[in-house]
Amino acid sequence: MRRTILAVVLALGAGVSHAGQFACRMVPASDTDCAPLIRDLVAHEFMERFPADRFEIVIVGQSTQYDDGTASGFATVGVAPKGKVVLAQTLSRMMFKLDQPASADVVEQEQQDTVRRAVADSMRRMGYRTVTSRMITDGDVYRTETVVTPVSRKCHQVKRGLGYNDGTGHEAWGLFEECD
Amino acid sequence: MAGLLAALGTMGTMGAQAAQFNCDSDLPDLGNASCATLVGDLVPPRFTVAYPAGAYRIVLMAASARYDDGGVSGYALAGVVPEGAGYPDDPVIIQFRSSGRHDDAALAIKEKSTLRSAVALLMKNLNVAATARKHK
Repeated sequence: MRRTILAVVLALGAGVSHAGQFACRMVPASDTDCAPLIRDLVAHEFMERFPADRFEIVIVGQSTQYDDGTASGFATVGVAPKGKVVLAQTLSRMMFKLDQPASADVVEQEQQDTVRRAVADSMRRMGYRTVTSRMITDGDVYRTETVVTPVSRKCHQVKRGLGYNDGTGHEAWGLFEECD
Repeated sequence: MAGLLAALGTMGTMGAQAAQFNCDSDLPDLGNASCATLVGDLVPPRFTVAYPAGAYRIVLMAASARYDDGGVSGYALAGVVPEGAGYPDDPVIIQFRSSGRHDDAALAIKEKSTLRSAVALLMKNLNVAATARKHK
Protein backbone atom coordinates (compact mmCIF):
# COMPACT_ATOMS: atom_id res chain seq x y z
CA MET A 1 0.00 0.00 0.00
CA ARG A 2 1.40 3.38 -0.81
CA ARG A 3 1.01 6.54 1.12
CA THR A 4 -0.10 9.69 -0.52
CA ILE A 5 1.07 12.93 0.92
CA LEU A 6 -0.79 15.97 -0.18
CA ALA A 7 1.31 18.97 -0.90
CA VAL A 8 2.05 20.77 2.29
CA VAL A 9 0.69 24.05 1.28
CA LEU A 10 -2.64 23.10 -0.12
CA ALA A 11 -5.01 25.89 0.36
CA LEU A 12 -7.33 28.51 -0.81
CA GLY A 13 -5.80 31.68 0.46
CA ALA A 14 -4.72 35.18 -0.25
CA GLY A 15 -1.18 36.31 0.27
CA VAL A 16 -0.33 39.78 1.36
CA SER A 17 3.01 41.10 0.28
CA HIS A 18 4.71 44.40 0.99
CA ALA A 19 3.50 46.10 -2.13
CA GLY A 20 0.26 44.34 -2.85
CA GLN A 21 -1.77 41.20 -2.75
CA PHE A 22 -2.10 38.03 -4.70
CA ALA A 23 -4.49 35.14 -4.41
CA CYS A 24 -3.37 31.54 -4.58
CA ARG A 25 -5.22 28.30 -4.52
CA MET A 26 -4.07 24.71 -4.16
CA VAL A 27 -5.67 21.74 -5.83
CA PRO A 28 -6.54 19.49 -4.05
CA ALA A 29 -7.76 22.00 -1.50
CA SER A 30 -6.72 22.08 2.13
CA ASP A 31 -6.82 24.41 5.07
CA THR A 32 -3.17 25.41 4.84
CA ASP A 33 -2.32 28.77 3.36
CA CYS A 34 -0.21 28.53 0.21
CA ALA A 35 0.79 32.20 0.21
CA PRO A 36 3.75 32.02 2.62
CA LEU A 37 5.47 29.40 0.49
CA ILE A 38 5.52 31.48 -2.68
CA ARG A 39 5.22 35.08 -1.53
CA ASP A 40 8.85 35.95 -2.24
CA LEU A 41 8.51 34.63 -5.79
CA VAL A 42 5.57 36.80 -6.78
CA ALA A 43 6.65 40.00 -8.46
CA HIS A 44 5.06 43.22 -7.33
CA GLU A 45 4.36 44.03 -10.96
CA PHE A 46 2.50 40.73 -11.18
CA MET A 47 0.13 41.85 -8.45
CA GLU A 48 -0.64 45.01 -10.36
CA ARG A 49 -1.19 43.13 -13.60
CA PHE A 50 -3.25 40.33 -12.04
CA PRO A 51 -5.24 41.83 -9.16
CA ALA A 52 -6.14 39.41 -6.39
CA ASP A 53 -9.87 40.01 -6.73
CA ARG A 54 -9.88 38.81 -10.34
CA PHE A 55 -7.00 36.37 -10.71
CA GLU A 56 -5.46 33.58 -8.70
CA ILE A 57 -2.32 31.50 -8.88
CA VAL A 58 -3.48 27.90 -9.18
CA ILE A 59 -1.10 25.29 -7.81
CA VAL A 60 -1.96 21.69 -8.58
CA GLY A 61 0.37 19.46 -6.67
CA GLN A 62 0.83 16.21 -4.84
CA SER A 63 3.58 13.86 -3.81
CA THR A 64 3.42 10.14 -3.24
CA GLN A 65 5.72 8.02 -1.13
CA TYR A 66 5.90 4.37 -2.05
CA ASP A 67 6.33 1.24 0.04
CA ASP A 68 10.07 1.18 -0.49
CA GLY A 69 10.45 4.75 0.78
CA THR A 70 11.07 6.32 -2.61
CA ALA A 71 8.79 9.08 -3.77
CA SER A 72 7.65 11.20 -6.65
CA GLY A 73 5.63 14.35 -6.95
CA PHE A 74 4.62 17.17 -9.21
CA ALA A 75 3.42 20.74 -9.29
CA THR A 76 1.53 22.39 -12.11
CA VAL A 77 1.22 26.13 -11.70
CA GLY A 78 -0.47 28.86 -13.65
CA VAL A 79 -2.52 32.01 -13.38
CA ALA A 80 -6.25 31.77 -13.89
CA PRO A 81 -9.01 34.32 -13.98
CA LYS A 82 -11.17 33.32 -11.01
CA GLY A 83 -13.51 30.53 -12.04
CA LYS A 84 -11.63 29.82 -15.26
CA VAL A 85 -8.80 27.54 -16.35
CA VAL A 86 -5.18 28.60 -16.27
CA LEU A 87 -3.94 31.02 -18.93
CA ALA A 88 -1.80 28.96 -21.29
CA GLN A 89 1.15 31.34 -21.37
CA THR A 90 1.51 31.15 -17.59
CA LEU A 91 1.49 27.37 -17.25
CA SER A 92 4.50 25.58 -15.78
CA ARG A 93 4.94 21.95 -14.81
CA MET A 94 7.63 20.58 -12.54
CA MET A 95 8.22 17.11 -11.16
CA PHE A 96 10.56 15.24 -8.90
CA LYS A 97 11.39 11.68 -8.02
CA LEU A 98 13.47 10.34 -5.18
CA ASP A 99 15.09 7.01 -6.03
CA GLN A 100 16.43 6.45 -2.54
CA PRO A 101 14.26 5.93 0.52
CA ALA A 102 13.53 9.25 2.14
CA SER A 103 11.80 10.50 5.26
CA ALA A 104 8.42 12.17 5.08
CA ASP A 105 10.10 15.47 5.91
CA VAL A 106 12.44 15.17 2.95
CA VAL A 107 9.57 14.35 0.62
CA GLU A 108 7.61 17.28 1.97
CA GLN A 109 10.56 19.61 1.44
CA GLU A 110 11.05 18.29 -2.09
CA GLN A 111 7.38 18.92 -2.82
CA GLN A 112 7.63 22.47 -1.53
CA ASP A 113 10.72 23.06 -3.66
CA THR A 114 8.88 21.69 -6.68
CA VAL A 115 5.99 24.07 -6.11
CA ARG A 116 8.41 26.98 -5.78
CA ARG A 117 10.28 25.97 -8.95
CA ALA A 118 7.00 25.87 -10.86
CA VAL A 119 5.92 29.27 -9.52
CA ALA A 120 9.30 30.79 -10.39
CA ASP A 121 9.11 29.29 -13.88
CA SER A 122 5.57 30.57 -14.32
CA MET A 123 6.75 34.05 -13.34
CA ARG A 124 9.56 33.75 -15.87
CA ARG A 125 7.09 32.84 -18.58
CA MET A 126 5.18 36.00 -17.76
CA GLY A 127 8.29 38.11 -18.14
CA TYR A 128 9.53 38.31 -14.57
CA ARG A 129 12.91 37.08 -13.51
CA THR A 130 13.77 35.45 -10.24
CA VAL A 131 17.14 36.43 -8.88
CA THR A 132 18.58 34.51 -5.99
CA SER A 133 21.24 36.33 -4.04
CA ARG A 134 23.50 34.43 -1.70
CA MET A 135 25.32 35.97 1.18
CA ILE A 136 28.25 33.80 2.16
CA THR A 137 30.19 33.64 5.39
CA ASP A 138 33.19 31.42 6.12
CA GLY A 139 32.55 29.52 2.94
CA ASP A 140 29.07 28.47 3.94
CA VAL A 141 25.86 29.77 2.61
CA TYR A 142 24.50 31.97 5.32
CA ARG A 143 21.33 33.22 3.81
CA THR A 144 19.53 33.33 0.52
CA GLU A 145 17.28 35.99 -0.77
CA THR A 146 15.02 35.87 -3.74
CA VAL A 147 14.07 38.91 -5.70
CA VAL A 148 11.55 38.87 -8.50
CA THR A 149 11.78 41.65 -11.00
CA PRO A 150 10.69 42.28 -14.59
CA VAL A 151 13.17 41.09 -17.21
CA SER A 152 13.23 44.58 -18.64
CA ARG A 153 15.21 45.81 -15.66
CA LYS A 154 18.98 45.81 -15.77
CA CYS A 155 20.64 43.84 -12.99
CA HIS A 156 24.26 43.58 -11.96
CA GLN A 157 26.22 41.75 -9.30
CA VAL A 158 27.76 43.56 -6.39
CA LYS A 159 29.96 42.29 -3.59
CA ARG A 160 28.79 43.56 -0.27
CA GLY A 161 30.30 43.15 3.18
CA LEU A 162 28.45 43.11 6.42
CA GLY A 163 29.88 43.31 9.95
CA TYR A 164 28.41 41.50 12.92
CA ASN A 165 28.11 42.54 16.52
CA ASP A 166 28.07 38.97 17.71
CA GLY A 167 31.47 39.10 19.37
CA THR A 168 33.04 36.71 16.87
CA GLY A 169 34.60 39.41 14.77
CA HIS A 170 33.40 37.58 11.71
CA GLU A 171 32.50 39.60 8.72
CA ALA A 172 30.04 38.22 6.27
CA TRP A 173 30.21 39.03 2.64
CA GLY A 174 28.26 38.01 -0.35
CA LEU A 175 27.47 38.52 -3.96
CA PHE A 176 24.20 40.29 -4.44
CA GLU A 177 22.38 41.00 -7.62
CA GLU A 178 20.87 44.44 -7.66
CA CYS A 179 18.45 45.69 -10.23
CA ASP A 180 17.81 49.23 -11.41
CA MET B 1 12.67 16.67 -18.83
CA ALA B 2 12.46 20.29 -19.91
CA GLY B 3 12.06 19.27 -23.51
CA LEU B 4 9.22 16.98 -22.76
CA LEU B 5 7.51 19.52 -20.59
CA ALA B 6 7.84 22.02 -23.36
CA ALA B 7 6.50 19.53 -25.82
CA LEU B 8 3.45 19.11 -23.67
CA GLY B 9 2.91 22.74 -24.37
CA THR B 10 0.03 24.85 -23.35
CA MET B 11 -3.28 24.27 -21.81
CA GLY B 12 -6.04 24.13 -24.33
CA THR B 13 -9.75 24.12 -23.94
CA MET B 14 -11.73 21.57 -25.78
CA GLY B 15 -15.43 21.65 -25.68
CA ALA B 16 -16.79 18.17 -26.07
CA GLN B 17 -20.38 19.28 -26.35
CA ALA B 18 -21.09 16.68 -28.98
CA ALA B 19 -20.40 13.95 -26.46
CA GLN B 20 -22.94 15.51 -24.11
CA PHE B 21 -20.38 16.56 -21.60
CA ASN B 22 -18.03 19.50 -21.47
CA CYS B 23 -14.38 19.00 -20.90
CA ASP B 24 -11.16 20.97 -20.45
CA SER B 25 -7.87 19.26 -21.01
CA ASP B 26 -4.24 20.34 -20.96
CA LEU B 27 -3.16 17.71 -23.44
CA PRO B 28 -2.49 19.77 -26.58
CA ASP B 29 -1.29 16.77 -28.54
CA LEU B 30 -4.88 15.70 -28.79
CA GLY B 31 -5.10 18.36 -31.47
CA ASN B 32 -8.61 19.00 -32.64
CA ALA B 33 -9.90 15.80 -31.19
CA SER B 34 -12.34 16.32 -28.40
CA CYS B 35 -12.11 14.94 -24.93
CA ALA B 36 -14.74 12.50 -26.04
CA THR B 37 -12.16 10.81 -28.21
CA LEU B 38 -10.01 10.05 -25.21
CA VAL B 39 -12.48 9.37 -22.44
CA GLY B 40 -15.95 9.46 -23.98
CA ASP B 41 -16.41 5.72 -23.66
CA LEU B 42 -15.79 6.04 -19.92
CA VAL B 43 -18.50 8.63 -19.38
CA PRO B 44 -21.83 6.83 -18.94
CA PRO B 45 -25.29 8.29 -19.51
CA ARG B 46 -25.79 8.44 -15.74
CA PHE B 47 -23.02 11.03 -15.57
CA THR B 48 -24.51 13.27 -18.21
CA VAL B 49 -27.87 13.10 -16.44
CA ALA B 50 -26.37 13.98 -13.05
CA TYR B 51 -23.89 16.52 -14.43
CA PRO B 52 -25.46 18.03 -17.54
CA ALA B 53 -23.29 19.76 -20.09
CA GLY B 54 -23.58 23.50 -19.74
CA ALA B 55 -23.78 23.25 -15.96
CA TYR B 56 -20.74 21.08 -15.31
CA ARG B 57 -17.55 20.12 -17.05
CA ILE B 58 -14.83 17.54 -16.65
CA VAL B 59 -11.33 18.86 -16.04
CA LEU B 60 -8.45 16.70 -17.15
CA MET B 61 -4.75 17.30 -16.62
CA ALA B 62 -1.75 15.11 -17.30
CA ALA B 63 1.98 15.50 -17.59
CA SER B 64 5.11 13.42 -17.38
CA ALA B 65 8.84 13.90 -17.20
CA ARG B 66 11.84 11.88 -18.30
CA TYR B 67 14.98 12.05 -16.21
CA ASP B 68 18.60 12.08 -17.24
CA ASP B 69 19.37 9.03 -15.16
CA GLY B 70 16.59 7.06 -16.83
CA GLY B 71 13.09 6.58 -15.64
CA VAL B 72 9.98 8.62 -15.90
CA SER B 73 7.29 9.95 -13.64
CA GLY B 74 3.98 11.60 -14.29
CA TYR B 75 0.45 12.12 -13.20
CA ALA B 76 -3.10 12.41 -14.40
CA LEU B 77 -5.93 14.37 -12.81
CA ALA B 78 -9.65 14.19 -13.41
CA GLY B 79 -12.41 16.09 -11.71
CA VAL B 80 -15.83 17.61 -12.20
CA VAL B 81 -16.60 21.26 -11.59
CA PRO B 82 -19.64 23.46 -12.01
CA GLU B 83 -19.20 25.83 -14.92
CA GLY B 84 -17.39 28.92 -13.67
CA ALA B 85 -15.72 27.12 -10.79
CA GLY B 86 -12.27 26.76 -12.33
CA TYR B 87 -10.72 23.68 -10.81
CA PRO B 88 -12.06 20.87 -8.64
CA ASP B 89 -11.17 20.97 -4.96
CA ASP B 90 -11.02 17.21 -4.67
CA PRO B 91 -9.97 15.66 -7.97
CA VAL B 92 -8.80 12.13 -8.66
CA ILE B 93 -5.03 12.16 -9.05
CA ILE B 94 -3.04 9.13 -10.16
CA GLN B 95 0.73 9.28 -10.21
CA PHE B 96 2.99 6.88 -12.05
CA ARG B 97 6.70 6.28 -12.30
CA SER B 98 8.93 3.80 -13.98
CA SER B 99 12.63 3.11 -14.06
CA GLY B 100 12.38 1.92 -17.64
CA ARG B 101 13.22 4.09 -20.61
CA HIS B 102 10.35 5.52 -22.59
CA ASP B 103 10.42 7.39 -25.85
CA ASP B 104 8.04 10.31 -26.37
CA ALA B 105 5.39 8.17 -27.97
CA ALA B 106 5.45 5.58 -25.20
CA LEU B 107 5.26 8.30 -22.58
CA ALA B 108 2.30 9.93 -24.29
CA ILE B 109 0.52 6.60 -24.33
CA LYS B 110 1.30 6.13 -20.66
CA GLU B 111 -0.09 9.59 -19.85
CA LYS B 112 -3.29 8.94 -21.71
CA SER B 113 -3.82 5.51 -20.20
CA THR B 114 -3.30 7.01 -16.74
CA LEU B 115 -5.75 9.74 -17.60
CA ARG B 116 -8.30 7.15 -18.62
CA SER B 117 -7.74 5.35 -15.33
CA ALA B 118 -8.32 8.62 -13.47
CA VAL B 119 -11.56 9.24 -15.35
CA ALA B 120 -12.74 5.68 -14.68
CA LEU B 121 -12.01 6.14 -10.98
CA LEU B 122 -13.74 9.52 -11.02
CA MET B 123 -16.88 7.95 -12.46
CA LYS B 124 -16.73 5.25 -9.83
CA ASN B 125 -16.30 7.82 -7.05
CA LEU B 126 -19.24 9.80 -8.38
CA ASN B 127 -21.24 6.61 -8.32
CA VAL B 128 -22.18 6.94 -11.95
CA ALA B 129 -19.96 4.25 -13.42
CA ALA B 130 -21.69 1.94 -15.81
CA THR B 131 -22.62 -1.34 -14.18
CA ALA B 132 -20.91 -4.30 -15.75
CA ARG B 133 -23.22 -6.95 -17.08
CA LYS B 134 -23.06 -10.31 -15.44
CA HIS B 135 -22.53 -13.22 -17.76
CA LYS B 136 -23.74 -16.59 -16.67
